[in-house]
Amino acid sequence: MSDKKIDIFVCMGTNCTFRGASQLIEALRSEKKIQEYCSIHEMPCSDSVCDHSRRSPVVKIDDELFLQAKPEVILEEVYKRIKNT
Amino acid sequence: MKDIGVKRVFERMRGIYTPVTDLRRRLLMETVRFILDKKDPSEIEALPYDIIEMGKPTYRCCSYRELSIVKQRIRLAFGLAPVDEKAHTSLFKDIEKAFTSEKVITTPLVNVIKAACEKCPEDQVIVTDKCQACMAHPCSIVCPRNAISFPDDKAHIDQEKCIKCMKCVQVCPYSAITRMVRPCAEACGVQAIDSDEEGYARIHQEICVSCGLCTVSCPFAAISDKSEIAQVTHALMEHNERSNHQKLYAIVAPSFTGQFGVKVTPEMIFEGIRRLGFDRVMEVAYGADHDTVILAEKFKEEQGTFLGTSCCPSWVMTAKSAYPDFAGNIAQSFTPMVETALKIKESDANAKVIFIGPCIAKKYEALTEEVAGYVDYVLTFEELAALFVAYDIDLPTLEQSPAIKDASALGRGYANASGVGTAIIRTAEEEFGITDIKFEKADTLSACLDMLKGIAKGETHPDLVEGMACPGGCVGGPGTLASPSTAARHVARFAAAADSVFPNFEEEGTKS
Repeated sequence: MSDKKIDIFVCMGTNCTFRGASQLIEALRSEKKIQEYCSIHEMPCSDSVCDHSRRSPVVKIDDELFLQAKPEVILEEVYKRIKNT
Repeated sequence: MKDIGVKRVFERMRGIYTPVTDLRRRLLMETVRFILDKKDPSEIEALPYDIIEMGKPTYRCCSYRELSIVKQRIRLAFGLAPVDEKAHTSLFKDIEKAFTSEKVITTPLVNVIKAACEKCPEDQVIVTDKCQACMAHPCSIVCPRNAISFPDDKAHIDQEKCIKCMKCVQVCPYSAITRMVRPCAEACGVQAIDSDEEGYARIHQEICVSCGLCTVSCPFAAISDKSEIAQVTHALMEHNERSNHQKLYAIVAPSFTGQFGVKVTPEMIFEGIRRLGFDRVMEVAYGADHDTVILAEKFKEEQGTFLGTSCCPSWVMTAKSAYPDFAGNIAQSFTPMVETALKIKESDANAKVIFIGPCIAKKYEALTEEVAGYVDYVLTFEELAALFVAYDIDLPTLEQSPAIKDASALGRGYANASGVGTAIIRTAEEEFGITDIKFEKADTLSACLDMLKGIAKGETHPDLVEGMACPGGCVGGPGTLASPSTAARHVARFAAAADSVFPNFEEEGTKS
C-alpha cells in the first residue's frame, strides 16, 4: 500500500463517527511517530461488523480487527507494533 | 518548558469522546431502537440492560448504581422529569405517557441526577501531595487571613478562613497548592448551581437559562437535559405509516456542517434527514438572513444607545434579568429558528416543524408562549445522529444533491462567535453605507455579564453588542458532536460556498 510498515484503518461511517471515530482518528494523526511509521486510512461502514454501532468504533490494524476501539487501547497497540518493526 | 495551554475547566472535556459521551449516545440510540421495534412500554425495564452490562460496572462502583443512573437518564431521554428516589416509586413511573408524538417535555429542562452526583467540593483551595513543607513556606507568609498552618508534614488550609485570594497558589515553589472547583458550577455563567443540604449539586431553576453547558461539563454524567427524541421518533413513525398525514419539516441550525464526520457534506446531512422521513429540510441560516436585515435597518436611525443581538436565548434571558434597564436594547426580533419556522407555517399552517441544532436553550425557547406555535420539537445534533444510527442511515454513502441554497454566506456565519455582528455590520455598510458601527462581543455567559457591566459603568460605548452563551458561539454548543474548532472551520467553508455574500435584501427586507 505504501512504504510505511503499518496500515491502520478507522471506520468513518456514521455508526462509528457517532461513537467517537473522529476523535480516534484525530488522536492517531496527532502523534508524529505514528504518522512516520503508519498509513492511516479511513474505511467505509460495514454494518455487520459493528452490529449497528453497538460495537463501534471499528479499527483494523494490518489485518487484525478491533471492536469498541478505545483510543488508549489503539494507541498502545500501534506503539507496540512500531516497536516490533 | 512547553506551554501546554490551560483551558477553562468547563472546556477541558469538549471534543474528547469520554465514557460520559459514550453513555449518553448509547442510551439515545437504544431508546430510539426500543421505539422503532414497537416494544410495549411495559418492556421498558429491559432497556437499561441494552445500555449497560450487569456485573461489569464500567462507570461506577457497582452495576446497581449504574442501573439507577441509567433509568433516570432514560426518563430524561423520554422527556420526563427524573423521579425523586425518596418518593419510593418505580423509576419508570408514568413512562407510558411519553410513548406518543405529543409534546411531553416541560421545564425545568436541565436536571441533576442525584444518583450520579458525586457531591464534589464546591470551590476550595487545597494543598496537594506535592507540598514539601519547605523552610521558606511562602504560602503562609503571604496569606492575608493566616489560614495556612503545618499540623503534619504538609501545609493545611483552614477552609473557614480561606478567602480564595490565590496568593498562596502563586508563590508555592512546588506548585503544590491548587484551586479545585466544581465543573458544573464553573460552567454555569449565571451562578445557578450550588449544593443542597446533603451536598448534591442543585440548580436554581429560577436563575438557570438552560444553556446546558453544565450537562457536558460534569465528569460523572450527573446533569442532563430532557430530550424529545422519543416523541420525534413517534412522529416520524406515524408520518411514515400514514402517507397523507401532515408534513414534517426539519430546520437545521448553521452549526450543522462538519458535525457528522469530516467527509460528510452538508448535502449528505440534508439527504440523511430526508431519509428519516422528513418532507423538507431547510437551513435556519435563512432566518438568520432575515434577522440580519431587520437589525441592520435599525442603524438607519440614530440609536443613541446600543443594540443587542437576539439570536441566543440564554444570552437574552441573562442580559434581561441581570440588567433590566437594558431589556429594551435587545432586539425584539425573533430568533433565526423562529423566523425560519414562521416562513414554513405561513405557507403550511398544518406542518410540524422540528428544529435541529447544537442548543439546549432552544428547547426552552420552544416551550415559551410566543414560540410554541411555530416550533413543534427541538433536537440536538447528537440526538439527530442517534436517529441516523438507529435508522441505519450511513451519511457518507448518500447522494450529494440537490445543492442547498437557503441562505447567504453571512447568515451561515451566525454559528461562529462574532458571526452575527459581522453579518449586521457588513449588511448595514452594503445597504445603507453606514460604516462607523462600534462592535463589542462576548461568548460564555460570564463574559457576557462582564461586557454588560462595562457598558453599564460607561467604560465602553458600543453601538452593537453580540452575546453568545457557548464558548466560540453555537459551534461550542452542548448538543454538538464535532470539536468546536473543527465545526468552526466547516461553518466558514460552507459560508464561502453560498451563492451570495449578503442576504437577499429585496425579498427579505421591509422595503424602505
